[in-house]
Amino acid sequence: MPENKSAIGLVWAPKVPPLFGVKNSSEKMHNQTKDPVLTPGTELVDGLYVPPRDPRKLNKLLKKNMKDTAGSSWFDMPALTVTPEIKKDLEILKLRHVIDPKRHFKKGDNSKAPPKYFQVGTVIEPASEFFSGRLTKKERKTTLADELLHDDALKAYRKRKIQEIQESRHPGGVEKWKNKGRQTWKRAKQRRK
Amino acid sequence: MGKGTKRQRKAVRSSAKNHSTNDAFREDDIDDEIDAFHKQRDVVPLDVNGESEDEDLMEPVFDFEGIDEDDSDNSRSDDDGEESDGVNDNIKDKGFAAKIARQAKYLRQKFGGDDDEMDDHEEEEEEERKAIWGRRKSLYYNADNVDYELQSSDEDLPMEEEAEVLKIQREKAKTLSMEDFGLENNEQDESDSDRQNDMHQDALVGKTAMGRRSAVDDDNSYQNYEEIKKDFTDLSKEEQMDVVYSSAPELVGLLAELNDALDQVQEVKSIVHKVGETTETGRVGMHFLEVKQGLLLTYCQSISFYLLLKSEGHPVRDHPVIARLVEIKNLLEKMKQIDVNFHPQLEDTAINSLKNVLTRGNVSFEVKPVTTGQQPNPIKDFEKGKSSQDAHKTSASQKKEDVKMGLQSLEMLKVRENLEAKLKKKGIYNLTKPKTERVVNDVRKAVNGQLETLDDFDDEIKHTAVKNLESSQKLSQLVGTKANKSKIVSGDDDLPKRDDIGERRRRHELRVLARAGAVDDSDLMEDEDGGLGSRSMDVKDQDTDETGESEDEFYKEVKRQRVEKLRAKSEKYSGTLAVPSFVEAETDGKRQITYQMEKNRGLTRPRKKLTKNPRKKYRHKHQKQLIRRKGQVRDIRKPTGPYGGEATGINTSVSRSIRFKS
Amino acid sequence: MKGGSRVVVQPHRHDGVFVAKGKEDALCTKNMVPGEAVYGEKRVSVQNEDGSKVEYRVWNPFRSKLAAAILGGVDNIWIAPGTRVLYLGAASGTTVSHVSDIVGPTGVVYAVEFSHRSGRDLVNMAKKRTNVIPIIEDARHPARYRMLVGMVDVIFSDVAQPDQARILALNASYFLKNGGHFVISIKANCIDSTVPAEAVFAQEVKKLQAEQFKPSEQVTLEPFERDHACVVGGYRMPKKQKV
Repeated sequence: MPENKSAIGLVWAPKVPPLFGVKNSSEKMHNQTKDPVLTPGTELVDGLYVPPRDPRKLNKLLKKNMKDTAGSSWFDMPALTVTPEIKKDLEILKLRHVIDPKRHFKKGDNSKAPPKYFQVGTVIEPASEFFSGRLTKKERKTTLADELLHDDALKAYRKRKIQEIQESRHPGGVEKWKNKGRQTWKRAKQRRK
Repeated sequence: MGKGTKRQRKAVRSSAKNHSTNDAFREDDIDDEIDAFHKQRDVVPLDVNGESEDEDLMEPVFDFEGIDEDDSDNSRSDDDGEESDGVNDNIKDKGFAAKIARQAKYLRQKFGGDDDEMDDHEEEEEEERKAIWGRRKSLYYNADNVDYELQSSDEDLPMEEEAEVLKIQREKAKTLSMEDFGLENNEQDESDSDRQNDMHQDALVGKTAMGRRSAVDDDNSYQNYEEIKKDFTDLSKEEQMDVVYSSAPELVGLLAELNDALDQVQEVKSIVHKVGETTETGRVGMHFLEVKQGLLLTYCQSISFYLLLKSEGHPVRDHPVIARLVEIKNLLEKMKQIDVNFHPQLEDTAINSLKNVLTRGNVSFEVKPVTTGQQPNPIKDFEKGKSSQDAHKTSASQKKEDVKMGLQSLEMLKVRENLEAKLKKKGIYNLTKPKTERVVNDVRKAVNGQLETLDDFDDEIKHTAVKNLESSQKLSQLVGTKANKSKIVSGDDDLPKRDDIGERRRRHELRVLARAGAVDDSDLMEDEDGGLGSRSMDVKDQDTDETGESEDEFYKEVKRQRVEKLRAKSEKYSGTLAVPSFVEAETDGKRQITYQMEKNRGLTRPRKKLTKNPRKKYRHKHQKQLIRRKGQVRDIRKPTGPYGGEATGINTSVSRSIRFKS
Repeated sequence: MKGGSRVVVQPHRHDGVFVAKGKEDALCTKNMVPGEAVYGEKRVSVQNEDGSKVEYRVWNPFRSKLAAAILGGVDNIWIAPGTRVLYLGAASGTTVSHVSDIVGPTGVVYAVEFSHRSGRDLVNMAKKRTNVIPIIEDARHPARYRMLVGMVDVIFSDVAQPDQARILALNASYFLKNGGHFVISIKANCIDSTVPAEAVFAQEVKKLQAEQFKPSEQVTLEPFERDHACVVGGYRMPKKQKV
């Protein structure tokens, strides 16, 4: 039995005393040894890895190891690991209709989730547009957000909008100094003069 | 010229007796008529006073009356002889006429428009009044639209009437002078107090008249006034004269004229008798003489009527008798002018006949002054003496004459009565009626004379005074038209009429109030004004009228006004009540038409403004389609510069191609 | 979209087509030959995380009718990576370059152009793109280049000739597989300028239907081209497939 034990080192079976004599116990033991199919897949056969015979399990295993891309249709465009900067850029792209009040955009896809497969690139102008359609080295930024922040044409509008939002959300100030309409304390004081 | 000298002479003589009046008489020559009359007024009281004390004080009056007597003599001598006194008479007559004219003027001035009836100006006024009132009632009431007139509501009529009456009374008030008011006040007071006082007044007037007459001639009118003489002694002379002059300053002159006229009538009558008896040659002048006699008689009658009125204490100022007097005076003037022409013709016949029939000394005396009429003073003196002498001698004959005269005057009064009745029937003269009736009553001494109708007198008059009828009728007609004015003035008779107006006005106002529900403040004010006006009218009337009725009226008026005022006040302060009533009053009139009515579009469907015009409608349609087309077929966009991407973005999820079914 | 600005490149609905999104959007195709522009278009260079560089070329819809059709919202272009495409009327090869980008190294583009001048550019372009086979021949005579062209999945026709339907049918009969697809760009003016564009399009569709084609959809290239339409359909479509 020790051989058997050693042979089947990884198998653990609870030693249950036979209820009905020796006979029964011998039968059970026989049954246990008889069933090799029930052994798990991770079992190393002669110390070697054997891939699971079940195709489902195999596919799962394969998928785990595969690189996440958009597929061959789009030339295996990889999924980018989303950094905070990239996340900001994607948000800006989604909210680009509020950047410039003069511009209007078609409704894009209204999926709230950010795109999974995408790449962030830089536009390369052709030689003919060297002067007309090119950003200078100073103007070039690493992210879309930086670009927008340094756009002078949109600065005034942006500032104004930010100011408004800040004022609307600003909780500060003494409450009784705020002008809340006709019957405020401040006005009453002015009236008293 | 003649009158000037005469006056001077008079003045000189009076100065010899009375030093106080001396200066006045001197100034009289220089001054105008008004002053002259005022001075006369000054003189007369002295005259009256001196009458009993001093015979000489009578002289100026006698002097004055002497001329009158001369005149009457002349007129009679015209009848009888007209030998010598013709020219002188004329001269005297001129003086006398001037005097009368002056007096008339004075009267006019004194009594304002009421005595101005003879005046041209007055006539013009009369014309104006006629223009206002119209000549005939039918012009106004029986016009083409008679039916309409009848149907038309009489709401406005009282208003118009009232306005008209107010206007007339205002005019009247203008014409009245202070003296009138004073005079009337005296009488008014008398009438106000009681009958005793009235009697006393009458007595006073009678007294004064008596005084005058006794001064002029002792016997003539003595009997007439004998019974009143009791009161005469009650008052002192000054008081009596004061009363006389305050009430009727023209009385003195009229008395004198009456005397003259009486004398003349007697003379003319005698001459006419004699001439008629003796010769038929004097037929030419006979008619003239008869006319003259008639005139004189009328004159006497009217004067006596005037005196009667005075004695009864009636207001004479606005009475037509004064106009009548002046008119007759004028006619007498004319007669005298004719006398001048008649004189040479009549001289022979009349004198001859007179010579034959010289029974009475009076006549001979009268002829003399006619012949030697250029110096009136000696004649007057003589006549004075004569009259004083004759007073005893021919007292019996005089009495007979007086009786005759009384009958004649009665007849004349009847004639007048008749005429006035006729005029009254015409509707012009109605207001003088009661007075004349009263006069008649007095004359006849009939207590129930008021009940007699005027037609009763007609028969009596017709055969008695046919001769005088012609002239007098004319005169009365003339006067009567002018007397139209007096209808408004005379006191008692228009009182009921005014009551009527008041009544009507009240009724009208009540009606107006009932209709409108509420009267505006302005209206009320107007009413009050009207009330005040009527009150003032009433006050005026009170002067002239008996106060009993008018006072009642006045109180009623005041009460009514007060009630109205209270009502107006309550309406004003209740407020809530006043407003709806006002609204009702507003809605009472024509309602405004609505906008729908004004447009009168019938059943037309409402159109939008943009699609009303077809051209515009199509234009708008086209524009709309162009916009829709933009969605279907997008415009061609030309590439500008190097391609920098789609500005509006690319929606990758959109697929909008046209699918073919198969 | 200026040189140096950052854009995010995303895959388009159609295979092998990308969209570069920045302040403006632009169609892109993955450049088969990185670092080179065909007709002076912009490019987007992307550095991958693993350090590899990828380049995309901006596809100008004003110069390419296929791009215009894509922007116009065509449902399916049937051109995808790995497909074999016969391109009739290739001209200078601008669109051919993008089609070659789309089909990728596994696909083949047979570009037929009759004009020698434009054919020179095409040939120059094809020199750098291995999947493009330029054929300077008349598209009316497919027999002349039948040795060069094998069976194709898609025929793209932009010949702008009045008999373009016939030309398409001829080429399809030679080279298009059964159940293959066609994309034809119709210029209304070239076919019949007297009738309205829609009528011309309908007319052409009728012709195509007569030639065993089964047009499935039509799209106008409106903001970019006047009176142009793109008709997409199948050829000798099997019935069973349909059912």
